[in-house]
Formats: sequence, structure tokens, C-alpha cells
Amino acid sequence: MSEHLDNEVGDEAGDEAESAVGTERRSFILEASTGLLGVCLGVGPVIAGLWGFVFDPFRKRELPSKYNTGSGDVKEGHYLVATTDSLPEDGTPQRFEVISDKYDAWNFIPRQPIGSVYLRKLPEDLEIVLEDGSKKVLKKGEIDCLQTTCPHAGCSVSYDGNTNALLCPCHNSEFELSGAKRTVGGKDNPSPRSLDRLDTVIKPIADGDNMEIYVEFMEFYTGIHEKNPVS
Amino acid sequence: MRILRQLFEFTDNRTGIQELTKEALYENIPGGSKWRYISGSMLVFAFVTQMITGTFLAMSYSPSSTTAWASVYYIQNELSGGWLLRGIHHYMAQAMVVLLPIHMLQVVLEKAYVKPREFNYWLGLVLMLITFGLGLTGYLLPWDQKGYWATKVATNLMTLPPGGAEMQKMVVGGTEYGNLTLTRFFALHVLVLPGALIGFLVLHLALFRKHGITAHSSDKRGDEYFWPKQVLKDAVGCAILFALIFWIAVAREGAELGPPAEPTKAFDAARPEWYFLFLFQLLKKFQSEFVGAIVVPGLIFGFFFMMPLIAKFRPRHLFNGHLINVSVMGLLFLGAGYLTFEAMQEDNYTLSEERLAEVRESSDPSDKVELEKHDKAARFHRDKEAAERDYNRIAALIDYQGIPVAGPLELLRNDPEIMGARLFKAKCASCHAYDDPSTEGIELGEFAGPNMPEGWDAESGSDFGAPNLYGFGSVNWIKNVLTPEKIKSVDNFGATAHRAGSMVDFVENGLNGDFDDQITKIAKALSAEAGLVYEPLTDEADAIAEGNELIQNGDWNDYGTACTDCHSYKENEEIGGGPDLTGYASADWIRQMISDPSHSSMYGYDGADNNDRMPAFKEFLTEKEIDLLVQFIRQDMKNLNR
Repeated sequence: MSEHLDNEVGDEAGDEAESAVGTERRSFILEASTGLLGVCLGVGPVIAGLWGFVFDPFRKRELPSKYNTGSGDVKEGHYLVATTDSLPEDGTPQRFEVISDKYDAWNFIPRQPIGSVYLRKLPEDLEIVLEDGSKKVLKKGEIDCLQTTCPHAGCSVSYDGNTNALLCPCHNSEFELSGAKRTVGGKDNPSPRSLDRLDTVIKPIADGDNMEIYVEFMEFYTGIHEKNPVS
Repeated sequence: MRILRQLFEFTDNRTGIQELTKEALYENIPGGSKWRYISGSMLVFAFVTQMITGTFLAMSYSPSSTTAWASVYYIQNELSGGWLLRGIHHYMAQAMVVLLPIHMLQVVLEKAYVKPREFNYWLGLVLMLITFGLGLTGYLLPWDQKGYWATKVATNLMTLPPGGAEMQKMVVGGTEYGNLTLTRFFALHVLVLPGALIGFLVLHLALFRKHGITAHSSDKRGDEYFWPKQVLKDAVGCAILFALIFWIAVAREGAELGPPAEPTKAFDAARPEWYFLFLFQLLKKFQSEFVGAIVVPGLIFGFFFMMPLIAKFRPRHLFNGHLINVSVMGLLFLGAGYLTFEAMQEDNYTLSEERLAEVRESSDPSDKVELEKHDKAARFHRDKEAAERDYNRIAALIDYQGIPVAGPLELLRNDPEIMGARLFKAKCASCHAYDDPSTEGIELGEFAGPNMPEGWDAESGSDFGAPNLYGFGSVNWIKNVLTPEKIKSVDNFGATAHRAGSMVDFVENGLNGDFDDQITKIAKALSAEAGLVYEPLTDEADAIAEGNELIQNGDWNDYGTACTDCHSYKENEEIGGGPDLTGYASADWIRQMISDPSHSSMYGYDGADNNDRMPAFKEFLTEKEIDLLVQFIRQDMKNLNR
């Protein structure tokens, strides 16, 4: 093999004057195609892997047929979280888990907590600012629902009775019960926006005043001013 | 001997091994071997240690949301020396992060980053990033609360730059953490990043060999070869490093493992590994997270990258680019050190008792800030301690029944001591205290029941709370209800509307004498109905029989009233509004009380309702949740070693 190779090199050197141009072209085509083949061989498996494995989370998955039933007369994406009787009249927020069916890769887990919310019965009227900047008044006694995920970096806020506020354990973000950013004593509050408000639908139960509270639960991207839902 | 020589020659002729070894060992070191040249070798040694320990860890680790924590628990507690191996892996990783800036500082101070070694310096920066990546990905793998929540912050930060959301989805394997997050982080941690590290390390070493060591011409000592003196110094350094890490791992009883990750349980003690604390603290400083997480760290890294080019800047003799580099780098290192210190200090911010009382009263905003800092640190420690308790409890459960296929969360979610206690805190503790003396000083304030106003006593009495349920149904608990001095205490009916009821009247006036013997017997008879596991009353058959008599016969007390005049008991039908005492404090009884206290067998009778204010929890709780509460109150699962 090596002898053969040596000969070729020798020939090339000898014939240089006569067919240098031809050799060059031939050698360029040879080199280019070898290179191309090499790149294809290397890149092929990588692309296949990226396509099948890494990009997999972008694919939508259907629920198993047993669970693939609509959610009755309540809109899709709304979850039954609590009943109005379970909320105190004084407006103390209560934390509830949102239960849903979910996939975890190869597992399907029915009735699994997928997140949590703070619900409270408003003890007085509350003026809120909507996405588009317009204002809206939530009436006393209506149900207000906030995401527990801190819009700063995604830690989970918790209600603190002493300060009567929702506090984030990570980077000192603090929120009023209305969800608004709290700035007591001019402290740093690194959160880019107020706590994310979620829409609720109230549905009466057959008898009595008690009502079911459905929450349109979603997560939002953290660390930005806009409230962009994660899809 | 001759055969050996022939064998060697045979091999050498075909491999050139002699030449290779020579090249590797007989590297010329101008100015001779030095102790200060060992940091690079120590880093290589640390990395090799990680590969070896990591390989063994991988043999017992299983990356999935149901098995990750369980397999690490297995490594930690079942495998012989598993805790030590994991401890070495954990602390050697930290050693790498400590050695990296030292190595970098040396390189800069010795001017080994300037021409012609720029590329090698840049390769070093890449190696540093890969090492940080290894630390970040490794932190998540045990899938405990701490790693889960800390890493979640890191991957949320990924979404900030353009295209970051898509990037995050690919790394996390979806929009939320789960099986795919672990398989991906595992692949990154054991294949992709170490592979990249090896590749860049080879280049780093090749370039290092090409340029040789950066010696100072002022050094008058003669040259030496790498072998043997420098190798010995390197080896001694590595041995000391290993001994140190080994000692730390043993002294700290291996690496920490927290309770398993619970995606919906907020964890106030989530912190990144200590060497990322400066980045964590930096985030608090900026109104915009994009600035704190991307721009500032990006600028700092950009500066590190530009350093070899800045060094070319030499307008005057004294004030040159190199000096700028050294001073800025020094400031950055000091800054990172300070931020780390500040982050640790904030988590340990504690006010003295006196100061705390002062601050609580004050309305000064700066005092308020001080109080909130104190409270925040207190919450951090509270959750840290709660996590430790949860871990110990889960460990006890694992000893008792093993880890089910569905994973450690299954244990946790079905455990009355963890979930029952949490439910109690969320649903019961605003009225009922649960004053367990064995957890005194830990849970106080969470299970202490309602806050009584100052000067509150049963006589002045508004209705603030409900009985303390610790030990409910035990002989002592029942005796307290039947004791005139105690029935109106805050632990019993004192803070309820029953304070003015006929039971209190009966106890205060009917039992106001020497009735200790009868009360004890009645308490034993009722407690036998409860059948508490922690108070079996096995040798008390006589007392129980007598107690049963006393319950149904009122001749013995000052009122001449029997319990069964108001309460149903066994064959005696109910004639009053008191709860049925048949099966008192048994699982069924408590379940009924929690589900519907106004039921006819509880406080309801004849259309009336003696229930004070207790809600019917069947409206708000599932059957399973009520069962957990019942078992928690009865302490059915508290002691697993019965």
C-alpha cells in the first residue's frame, strides 16, 4: 500500500510540467468529494439524533384514549381547583394545587399536580391593570387567582402572614396580595412584573351557595416584562 | 532478561513507545521544577478522579423522575462506601472550581496569557465554562428538593436571550421538569461535557507543550526535565489534594442528599451550590434579570476573553494593558468573593431577642426592612430544617417498607407524618393547636393554633380556637377534658363556644371533688375505644370494665349524671347533643368528625346543631386526605419500629 502511494506521489512530481492543471482539477474533485462524504457521514447521525431526540419536546402528544375526553361544559385548559366555601371571607389567600393528567416522557400520570395557585375571595373592590394597559375593577367577593411562580426566576412564592404579602424565597421579590410588586422601605425588588393573574370560571354546584372554581392554568416565561405563556 | 529486552524492542519498533515516553517525561523546564507549577496537574488529577468516581456512580445511578433519588439514596445508604465515593465526587468537583481561578490567576500574574500563548489561555476559558456546566448538570441529578429548585432557576434564565425559550425546551426536554430533564442532564453530565472537556484538555496540553512553561529569564537556576522532580512535586500536590478531599468527605459524612424533589412544594431553602452563590446574589442586584443573568456575566466573561488583546496595549511603561487586566481581574475576584459572603450572610441574618422585640414594635421603615430580612433568613432555616426532618422521616419509611416502584414521592404522599402534618397545618392549624412536645421549638408557630390576644383567658373569653389535638384520645387527653381546672384551658374547650356549654358545667360542678380514680377509669375506657397504637392499655381490662360502668351510671358524681345522659355509648341511645362516645377517637370516629361535625352522631341532634364553627371537611378534602389527617392525629404511623 505504502509503496503504491509512494509511486503515485513520484509520478505526480515527474509529470508536473505536462499535466499539472489536470492533476490539480482531479485532486480538487477528489478532495472535495472525500470531504463532502466525510461531513455527511459525521453530520448525518447528528441531524438524525437532533431530529428524533433533541427536538422531540416540540412535538405535540395526544392523551391516551382513556383520558382523551373533553372537559364537559367548561373550556379546555380550565382546571377545577377549589370551591368558594374553602376561601375565608377576610381575603387571606389560600394555596391550591392544580391537578391534571400529564405525560412524563414514557410515563403517563393521571391526576398529578402540575402547579399551584393562590386563590382569595376579595374582601373589597380591587382595581387591576390588564395586559393592554386598560383598567378593570374586580368586585368585592369575586375570586382572584394568582400564579405561585415568581415572574423573576421561577421560584415559588409563599404567603407570609406577618407581612401579609407573597414573598419569594430566592432573590427577594415581594408582592402584595393583589399581585402587585411590593417595595417596602425602597428595597430592591428584582421582579420584572407583578405576579401573573389567571382567569377563573365559577360554576354553581347543584344545591347551596357553594361554587366550583375553575382556573385557566398556565405558566409564563420568567425574567421579562411581558406576560408570555409557555406553550 | 533477554526475552524481556526482545519483547521491549519488538514493541518499541512497532510503536515508538520509548520515544513517546521520552517526549512526555523529558520536557525541559527552564529554571527547574517549582511548586508553583503544580496547579495545572492538580486540575487534571481532579478531573481524572471525577471520571473514575463518576464511572462507578453511573453504574448505580438511574436517571428518571421516579428512580433518580431512589438510586442516589441506594448509593448513599446501601452500597459499601457508596457515601464516600459520592462524597469524593461531590467535593472534588468543588476543588476543581476552587483550583480553576487559582490556576487562572497564576497564568495571568505570570503573564502566560499573552503572546504567543493567547490560544491556550482561551482554551483554558473554555475548559472553565465546561467545568461550570458539569457542576450545574451534576447538581440536578440526585433529584432532591435543593438541586431541583436551584437548577430550575438556572434553566429559567436560559429563556432570556432570543431563542432561549426553544433552547430551554431542548435542554429540559419540555416545558417542565421530568424524566427527559434527567436523561438529558445525565447525558450532558457524563458524555457530552466530559467528552468536550477531554478534547479541549488535549488541545490545551498540546499547546502548552508547544510553547513550554512560562519561565522568568531572571531565574538563574539550571534547567531540569519534567521527570522526575516536577512529577514528584505534582504528585505530592495531588496526594495532598486527595487527602484533603477524602478528609472533607469523611468529616462531612459524604455529600448531602435532601428529601426527594416535589414539583409543587415551594422550597424556601433552594440555593445553588456555594460556588454559584455570587451569580445568585448578582441576580438580586438588578431590576432587569436579563442584565443580572446575561449581560453582566457576559461582559465579565467577555473581558476575560479580551485580556490577551488588552495586554497588547502599552502606552506608558507603568500603566499598561497587563496592569489593567490584573487590577480588573483582582477586583472581579474580590467582588465575587464579596457577593458570596453577602449571600451567605443574608441567609444567616438573625436579630437578637431584644432587638427583634424592638423592631416588631417599631414603625420605622428601616426597622421594617431589618425585620423582613430576619424573617426571610428564618424562613430559609425553617425550610432547611423541615427538609432535614422530611429526609429523616423518609429514611425511616424506607427502612420500614422500602421504596415502591412508583418512587419516593409515593412514600411521602401517603405518609400521615409528612402529608398529614402538612394538611393539618393548612386546614386545621388556624383553629387547632398540635402541641407535640417532641417537636418543640421546631414547629412552634406553625402548629401552635390561633394567636390568642394578650391577656386572653377562659373567663374573659372570646372564641378563638379549638382544642389542642396532640394526643387526642389518649388517657391523659381525656382526663384533661374531665378535670375541672383544665377543661376551660386553651388546650380544651376554653376558646370555643363549648366554654359555656353543659359539658363544662358538668365537669366544673359535677366533678369538683376527689374523683381522680373514676376519671382515670373513664378515660381508660374511652381510650380503649380509640385503640391508639402508642397506648395499647393491654393490662387494663379491669379498669376499662369499671370505666364502662361509670360512663353509663351517674350515681358516683356530684350531679348524679351519667355520660350516657347526653352521649350515646354502646347500647345506650343518644338523648342529648353530645357526640357519640362509641368508638371514641377511633379512626372511623375522627373521620366522621372531620367529614361532618354536624352529623347526628357528632354535634347534631334532633334537628339542632351544637357544632361550634368546625366546617364539614368532606366538602374540601378528599377521602384520602381525611384518612391522612386521621392517621396523623392518631399517630398511627409515627413510630415505625413497633
